[in-house]
Amino acid sequence: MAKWGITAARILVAVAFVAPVYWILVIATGVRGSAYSLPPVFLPAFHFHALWTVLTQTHWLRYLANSVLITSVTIVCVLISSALAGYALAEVRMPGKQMFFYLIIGVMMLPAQALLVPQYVVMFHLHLLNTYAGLIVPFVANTSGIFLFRQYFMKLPASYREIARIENVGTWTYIRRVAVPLARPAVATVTLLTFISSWNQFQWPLIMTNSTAIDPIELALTHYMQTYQANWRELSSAALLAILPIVIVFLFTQKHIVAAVAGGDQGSKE
Amino acid sequence: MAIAIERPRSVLRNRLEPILGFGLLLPSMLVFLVFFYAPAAFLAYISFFHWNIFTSQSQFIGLGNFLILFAQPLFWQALFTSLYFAAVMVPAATLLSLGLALLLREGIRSRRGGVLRSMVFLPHVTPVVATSIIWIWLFDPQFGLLNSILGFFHLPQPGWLASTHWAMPAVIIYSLWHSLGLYTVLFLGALATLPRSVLEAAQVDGAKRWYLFRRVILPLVSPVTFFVVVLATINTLQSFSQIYALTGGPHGGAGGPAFATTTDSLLVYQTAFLYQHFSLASAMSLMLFILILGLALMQKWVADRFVFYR
Amino acid sequence: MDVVNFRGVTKQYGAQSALRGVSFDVNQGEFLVIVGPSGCGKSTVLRIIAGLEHPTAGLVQFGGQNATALSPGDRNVGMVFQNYALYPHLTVSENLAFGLNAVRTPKPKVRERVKEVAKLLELEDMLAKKPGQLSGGQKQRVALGRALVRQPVIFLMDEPLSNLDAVLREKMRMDLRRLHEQTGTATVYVTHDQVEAMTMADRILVMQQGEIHQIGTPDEVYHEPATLFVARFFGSPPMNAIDVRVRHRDGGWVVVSPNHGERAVITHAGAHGQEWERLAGDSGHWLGFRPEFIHMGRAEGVQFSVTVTDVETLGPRSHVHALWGDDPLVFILEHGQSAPERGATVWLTAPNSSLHWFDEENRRVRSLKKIGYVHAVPEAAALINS
Repeated sequence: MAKWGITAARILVAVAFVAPVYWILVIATGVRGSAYSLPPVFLPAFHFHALWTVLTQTHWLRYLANSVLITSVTIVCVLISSALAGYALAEVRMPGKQMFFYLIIGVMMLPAQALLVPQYVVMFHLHLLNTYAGLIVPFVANTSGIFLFRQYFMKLPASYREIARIENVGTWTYIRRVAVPLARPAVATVTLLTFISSWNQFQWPLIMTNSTAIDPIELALTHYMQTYQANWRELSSAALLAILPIVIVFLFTQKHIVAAVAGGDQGSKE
Repeated sequence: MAIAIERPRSVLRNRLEPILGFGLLLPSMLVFLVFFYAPAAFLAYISFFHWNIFTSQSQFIGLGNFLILFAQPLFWQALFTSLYFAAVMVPAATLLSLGLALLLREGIRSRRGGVLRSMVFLPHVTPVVATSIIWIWLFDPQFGLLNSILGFFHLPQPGWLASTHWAMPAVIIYSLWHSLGLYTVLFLGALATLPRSVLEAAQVDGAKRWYLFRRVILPLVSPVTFFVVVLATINTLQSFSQIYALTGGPHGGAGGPAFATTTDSLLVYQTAFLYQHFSLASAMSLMLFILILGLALMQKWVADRFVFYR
Repeated sequence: MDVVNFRGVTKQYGAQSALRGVSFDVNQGEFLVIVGPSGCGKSTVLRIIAGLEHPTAGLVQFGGQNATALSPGDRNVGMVFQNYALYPHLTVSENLAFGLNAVRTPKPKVRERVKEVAKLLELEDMLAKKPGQLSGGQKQRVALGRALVRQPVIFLMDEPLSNLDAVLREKMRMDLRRLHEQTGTATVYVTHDQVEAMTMADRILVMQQGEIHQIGTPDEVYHEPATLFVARFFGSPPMNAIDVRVRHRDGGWVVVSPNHGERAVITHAGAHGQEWERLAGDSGHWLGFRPEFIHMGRAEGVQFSVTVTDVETLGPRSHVHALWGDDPLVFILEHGQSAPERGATVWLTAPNSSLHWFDEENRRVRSLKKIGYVHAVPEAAALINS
């Protein structure tokens, strides 16, 4: 009896957490005015009229494209920079390694909120305000990415690197053809983590851009919150577009993402 | 037989190795230095100046910026709001996530257990603005689901985001929804090290449950509890997006109503980017910086001493 | 010209010395086996030849040229690691071609070399497979093939057979030896296994604690071990070694143990009187003789009266453990000889020709003209193997 109660409680709690996300679908695809109906509607009606309006009558495709562009370029850059730096920390004998180590960990501890003002000044002087580069470049290096790769590279047998040295294989070829392909879990984890953080970017573009042409979808949503005031169907449809990619990726990789986020700074432990 | 040494081109390779290492680290280091360390250093500097970023004219005014801040009631109100936010959020997040972890712990290795955990975790990876939209609707005083439920049970139906008293609790509820999954997973990691036999033995005897919790589970999760407390404090003090999204929508300017949800982070944003008082915003940021960095160092210190998860 | 020369090579890791003044040469076309217990420095020697490590002091020459400036890639060595170091995400043929492609060898040439090597090592059927799908022996051959495709001037093998089972190891020993005869490329082979050393080597280099004890042919290290360590390293069961003094007693010569006072009589010593004279004195010696050359009964040589403590029956022969005073001895009885009872007292004779003498520093007493020397006993290697 008690066991049955616990099971029910567990399912109820889990459903409660997912419900708000589900409601976006219900409202976005509901009939007109369903958001105001009492008692509330619990099933989606799959009317895509509102979604169609959002997609065709606004710049929504543009925002989606912006988000896709920013996110994918960031992911590729983070993978490259993390793999290279991770390799240096794992394999290269060099003086001052400890210092680099602390510099890389230290970045994680700088409070993002407190840095926005001076960062804005730096962005202004580098002419990066209102540019795609300004939304990408500051995020192409990543502490957990570096440490994840380092961790995987350190697990590779020393003989892999040694046979490469004997066969006159250059460092670059070795990283590209051997080390990174063998660190595939790190590639997957870094890709997922970067995808989530980059797609969900909001405050940075809010501050660093004022032209809607390059806005990512999350930021564009706030503009629409004013435009579509209380037009819940259109607003929810727009939100659905921002959430859908994340939810779809999460559905397929949930186990991996949970492990990655929970153990995100695993590698920083010596 | 002659030994075929075609090109002894890598005579210097050993001496070049450190240079290679620097080269590999360069892209990351450059980004860190330009966009993070330089601004951090710059922050301390501009806090003590009257400064115009567009003309780069500056004038040293010592603690002037700080004195102006301290004279403003809004600064103190924002500080109070931040502390209120943290004072409610941190204990609530810690206790609730521990409770969730204990509830979900059993059978977490099974397929269904994993799915339940993922469901609780899902909100943490969703974009804040997009999900805020649905919460604004849930919080709607007249048509929102929350008040419908409260009404069904004949409970008082607050104005939530429209009310100065209830706006902050609404923000806290959203924040809990968005972050509990993360803390729960951290606790689950610590609980995973619990020996199975201990739990099975305790289940036979109901009276032993409290003893088990106090003597076995609490000591086991105490390092991770500390970690969660510090992490939640840092995250709460740095909250911005959800407040901006929840309060900046149909109900008017972010941080409202009547500055009821204007935390430090929001005040820095408004001061710098709406009113262009960069020097004042810097002074505020510097205080925030020192506070949060202190917490982060503490967190790192703990993380280095205990292994919690996996 | 030698392939590799080591002159007084020393390697320090912090305060620890891995090698202390090591000098030797690798001759053209020879199969040199470096053997010793783990931690003796044998792998360090191999890694210094490959260029993966640099000596702390001393000179390494590669093809007569100072090797300090040569990176591993410039040396054109082929190395086989104990764990094979095959890249698990590449197929066998990609593994074979990896090094060649990395240095921009023309494609047709790469294909041709891979094909050649695959044929030589019978890898043709597995070229498209990944290392994970191969057995230990197959991986071993791929690792060999990868070294072979580059047509190196020297092969370096670091315990390449130690991950294989006994049957396969025996087959691979012969295969490797045959391959060596086909290619004629100098090979340095590191192992801790005396059987591999004996059966495969042209010359054996015996190391202990960073020093070379002996370099010689298998026959030499077996029959004329330079040190007590070498003497006891080869042979199974190992050579008996007893701490003794040589004395003149009752008109004849005896061997006396300083530890327990037992004495062993030497018969027919007359012919070698001078030699015994030289050994006599207060300084102690180690008297060594191999279990396989002892007879039961009393005959010409050194005679011990021993108490049998254990008999191990192995089928074709038996190992008999016995005590001479406090000193344990082992001897071998061939099939058909009746073994004594446990606890029985029996006479043993170590023929003069089987005796080895070592001084207090455990070095072979070379001033001594060999009292008797069994030249090139053909079964010797076979005896150790079984």
